[in-house]
Amino acid sequence: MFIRRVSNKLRRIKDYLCDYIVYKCLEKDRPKESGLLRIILRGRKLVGFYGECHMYIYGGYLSSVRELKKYYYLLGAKEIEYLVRWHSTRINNRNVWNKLDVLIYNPGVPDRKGAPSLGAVLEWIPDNCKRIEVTNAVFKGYMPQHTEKVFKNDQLFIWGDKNINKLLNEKESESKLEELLSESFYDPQFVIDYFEKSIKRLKQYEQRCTIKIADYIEENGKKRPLFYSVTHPEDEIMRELTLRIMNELGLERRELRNTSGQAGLFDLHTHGEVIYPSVCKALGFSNEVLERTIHPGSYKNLDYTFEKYVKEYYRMGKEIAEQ
Amino acid sequence: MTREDILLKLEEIFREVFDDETIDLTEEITPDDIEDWDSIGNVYLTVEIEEELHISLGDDMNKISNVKDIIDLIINRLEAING
Repeated sequence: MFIRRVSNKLRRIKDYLCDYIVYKCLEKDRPKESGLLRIILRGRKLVGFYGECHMYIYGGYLSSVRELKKYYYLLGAKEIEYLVRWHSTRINNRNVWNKLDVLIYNPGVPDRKGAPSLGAVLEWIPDNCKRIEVTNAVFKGYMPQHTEKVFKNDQLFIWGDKNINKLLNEKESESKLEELLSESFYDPQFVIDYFEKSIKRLKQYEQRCTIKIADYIEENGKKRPLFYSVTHPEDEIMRELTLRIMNELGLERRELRNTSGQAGLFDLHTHGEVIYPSVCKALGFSNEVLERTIHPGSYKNLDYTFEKYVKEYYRMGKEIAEQ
Repeated sequence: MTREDILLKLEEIFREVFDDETIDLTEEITPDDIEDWDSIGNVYLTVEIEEELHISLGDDMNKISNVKDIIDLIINRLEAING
């Protein structure tokens, strides 16, 4: 664990310095076939990134593929929050975007203070820049309880739970929580319809994306849960999306190296959301899925079973309401 | 399309997207009034409106605060198309 942490830290420093040097070169209004940049790129295509937390994972996987790095140089392969924090002045310079050969981005990224908007970036990139619009891969199908409405708390519960919110609002007693644990809480047909409808919605949303994932969820989503939360896909989805991006870049499918710590389960296993026992049952998941635990919020040291989650959410919600 | 026509069409869309036949849409309704009208719900709503009305709403849908704003946005887009 210690060694992994140190090596991750060193890799982050290296990534930062590499990005810094290239951004500095790009800031100057000079063609990229000149000076230090020519030496760094060695004829490779320059790939930029604009998106949220998923970008970090794609960046990690893509940079682990040696063949890809022969043809492409990956610049700022991180989430936009990171780029704002570490390269704010540089990413606001249009010169760093107008020399890109490829832009990999998520649609609909909300504007952030300190960052150029996605709209601006799309205007700044040259006409011949290849645009790869990657689905945001947001899927509600396993989590019908999901809502953004949640009581103010210490980042333990990032997402809300409609069912427990209702019990809290109606001042129902704790004994009512038992009903949520039941395998028949959600009607099986409702769960299946909800799952199908979520796929339909994702498909509609992905119509304009270059890289889609709804078809993969449709094919595999009832075999095992493919999402850790509505917005955090499991590693399997991130790998599949990376392979699809690679395909778009002209590279064949291959086994991606496990880059744990840099990408994969380690990073997107935060802000977890439970899968109700009745949802597990209706979708035909094994008992193993029933015993699934989540890290609430960013608390990777906490592991909540479904029962623990329900109790903690209710307890905290009640406590805050009484304050 | 008149404002009333748009409101009626939107009511149909809201019912379909949020799976709730009881929604009675008025211009004053805000995302706080409909449980599933969160940021993801808003994305689904945008896609459905765009498909149904053959217009592009884009990121402006992120700035709306009630149904009235959506109607204004749709009118603006339809006027741009029809000149």
